[in-house]
Amino acid sequence: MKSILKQIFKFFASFGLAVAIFVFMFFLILFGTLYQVDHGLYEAQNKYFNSMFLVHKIGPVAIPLPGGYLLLSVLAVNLVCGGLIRMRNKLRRPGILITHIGVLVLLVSAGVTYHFSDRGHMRLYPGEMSDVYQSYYDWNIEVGKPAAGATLQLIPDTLLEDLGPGETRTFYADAMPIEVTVSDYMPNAVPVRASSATGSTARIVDGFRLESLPPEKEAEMNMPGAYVTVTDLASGETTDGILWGLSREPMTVRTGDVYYTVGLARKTYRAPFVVRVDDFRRELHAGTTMAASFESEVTKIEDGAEEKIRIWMNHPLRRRGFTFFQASWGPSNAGPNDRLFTVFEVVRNPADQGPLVACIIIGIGMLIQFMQKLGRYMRTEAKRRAA
Amino acid sequence: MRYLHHGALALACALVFTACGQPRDRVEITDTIQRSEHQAVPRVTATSEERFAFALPQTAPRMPGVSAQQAGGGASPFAYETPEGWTEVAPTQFRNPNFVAGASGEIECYVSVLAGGGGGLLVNVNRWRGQMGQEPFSDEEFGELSQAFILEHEAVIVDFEGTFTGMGQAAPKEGYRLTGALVETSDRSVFIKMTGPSEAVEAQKDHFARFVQSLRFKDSAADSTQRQAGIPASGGLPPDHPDIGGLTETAARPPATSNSGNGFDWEVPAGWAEVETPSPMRLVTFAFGPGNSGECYVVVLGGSGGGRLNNMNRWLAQMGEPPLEASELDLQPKIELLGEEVPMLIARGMYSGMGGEARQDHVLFGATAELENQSVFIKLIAPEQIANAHFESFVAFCGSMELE
Repeated sequence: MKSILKQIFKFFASFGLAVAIFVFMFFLILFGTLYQVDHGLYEAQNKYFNSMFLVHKIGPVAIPLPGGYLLLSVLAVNLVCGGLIRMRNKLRRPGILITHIGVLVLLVSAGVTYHFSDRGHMRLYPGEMSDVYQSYYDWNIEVGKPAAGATLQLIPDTLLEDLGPGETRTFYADAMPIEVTVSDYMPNAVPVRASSATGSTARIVDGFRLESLPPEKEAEMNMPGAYVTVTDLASGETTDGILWGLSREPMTVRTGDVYYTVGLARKTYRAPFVVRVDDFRRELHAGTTMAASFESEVTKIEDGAEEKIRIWMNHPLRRRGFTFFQASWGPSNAGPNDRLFTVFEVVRNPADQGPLVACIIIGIGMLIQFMQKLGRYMRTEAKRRAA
Repeated sequence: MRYLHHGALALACALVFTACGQPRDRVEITDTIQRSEHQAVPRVTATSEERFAFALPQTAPRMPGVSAQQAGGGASPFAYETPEGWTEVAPTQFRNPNFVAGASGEIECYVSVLAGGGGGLLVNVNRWRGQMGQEPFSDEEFGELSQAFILEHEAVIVDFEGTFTGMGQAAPKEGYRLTGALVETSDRSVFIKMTGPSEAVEAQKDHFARFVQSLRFKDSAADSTQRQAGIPASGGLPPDHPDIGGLTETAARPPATSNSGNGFDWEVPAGWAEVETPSPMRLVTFAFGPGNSGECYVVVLGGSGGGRLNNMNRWLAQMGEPPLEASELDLQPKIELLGEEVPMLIARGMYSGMGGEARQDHVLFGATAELENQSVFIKLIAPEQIANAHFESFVAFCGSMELE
């Protein structure tokens, strides 16, 4: 048993494993970059860098590859086993040790970011305020009462993506007097008015059917859709409906005297404070209609206390682990006197400063190593001249 | 043998892991969130028509990928000016707005909108190529197509001749021409297409260019994410924009037969001759001086066209001079243009126009007028002596301009 563990440790500590990982990373980056051209950044990231395994096709040839997540995880283990534990004379080479620790900090930061961060956008006109930001890519079916402050039951799109034509999945919760059965989830769709020319197999609800569309290269432009059947648990009555990402209002069902809404919406997150936009300014490059700069004057409101803050390009608002970046503005076809809205990209990332800390550690480690090398060289040269 | 056991164990673990990851048919909801007081409360009485308003529901089956903005009988998402001689007909699910033109309505022109990328510009260019019986373009050939700025975005301009077989059309039509523009915005693709007999389309090209120039989005309700800084409506190309190839190669603007155009009148100064304009964005171009070395032209853009100060500073940059401050605008000499006193720009130096060689010792006269829905730009550029000799002519020309 001891020898098996020793073999495993030897494998994970080997320099050869590190080289193999870097070779695979090279190909992942190459293939992922080429894939992105036709399929967009989000798809490429998910397939090549957020995965454990993938299959890359070159023409008819399918090449199985380890994914970026697996490679970096193994690299972290390799770094600990080989770079820290097994490394010889590490105390005499503190620079290399510190550099390896810095790289490990970087990998751990990446892992924390991947698992524990969220990112979205918040769009506000001057005068408006909110504490809600929405994901670019993730969707939820939200079920709840149409009332301010109501608790919404959430069905994430990750539980719907595998539903093919005709396949259903039913969702329930103790707090809900209804059940929601979802079928035919389409990652990008549009509702169309059904007509006599509609094929007999098309499912029509209230004069509409859902039509699947090809996925957009920019994944945030996809508008998903799904068919739902809502069952009133008390009466057994069912109501069919269509959910769509760009729907103006959700579907409504009534159980007794109580209304419930069922809608498809971008996954929302709540910030621990409210942001109110007081003013938004945009400057154009002289002689063009391209924006040179745009900035927002906001008030952060938390527990009744107000704080005036300016957010502009490369100068985000950072509070309580949340970062508000000035991302963009609109509408894109605004005339000179039209009212403009501002868009913030909101990021919550516990490892926000991790890469910075890692780079500092790596820098210190490399400096120590180079100084040591320099010192050794100078001593050797001095001896040689003296000889 | 040991490795076989390890491999089998690893495979079994993978299978179990995979199986465990699959959701069941009945799933208990575990995620919740409290609706923020800053979020709108949904309306419970919305009908399906109201809920799917952004999809603009159709009365006939649609092809996949057709945008929610297509209106089968509904309002167009665009504001535009109907060219003279064009008749607007009822929109359809693919055509909104929809026009016919020509002596017997043989020309069709319409705008289509697809949600998202619509398959991509190259795919759609080649779809049109196929309709005209032409071979599809390669990436390289696509890259060589002329470009313009339409609907505040870069657009591709196309111009094909061939045998036209449109969608749903019974018989192919020989001797046809397709002129069009394809635009990709942040959330939709816009296709502006004119087809008809070659000669008839040729005669309508200027009208087509002006129609395209006048197009603006009415709203951006379908924008779900703003990914780029927007560009306010300018209504077309700025002055001195390079030729936009497909609309200009064979459709050099014929000289006006009268001293007017597009709603404006003017008096042509002595010694000025109207010439074929190299750009469809120019209303009229005059040449003067030895070897026609002097040029004066008029551009009309929708909206503010970027504003007086911005455009004057752009002209100054072309002359290698520093920009003006807003406060300095009033210090410029005043001339009359379209019934009002406007600042006139006079700049001397090396002229580097867009797309052209640098020309030493040139002088630029410029003036702009901001009307209700459009802006007028008049620019004269000539070698210094010639420009000085035609200064009075420039002032007189500006003073003579009036709305028809």
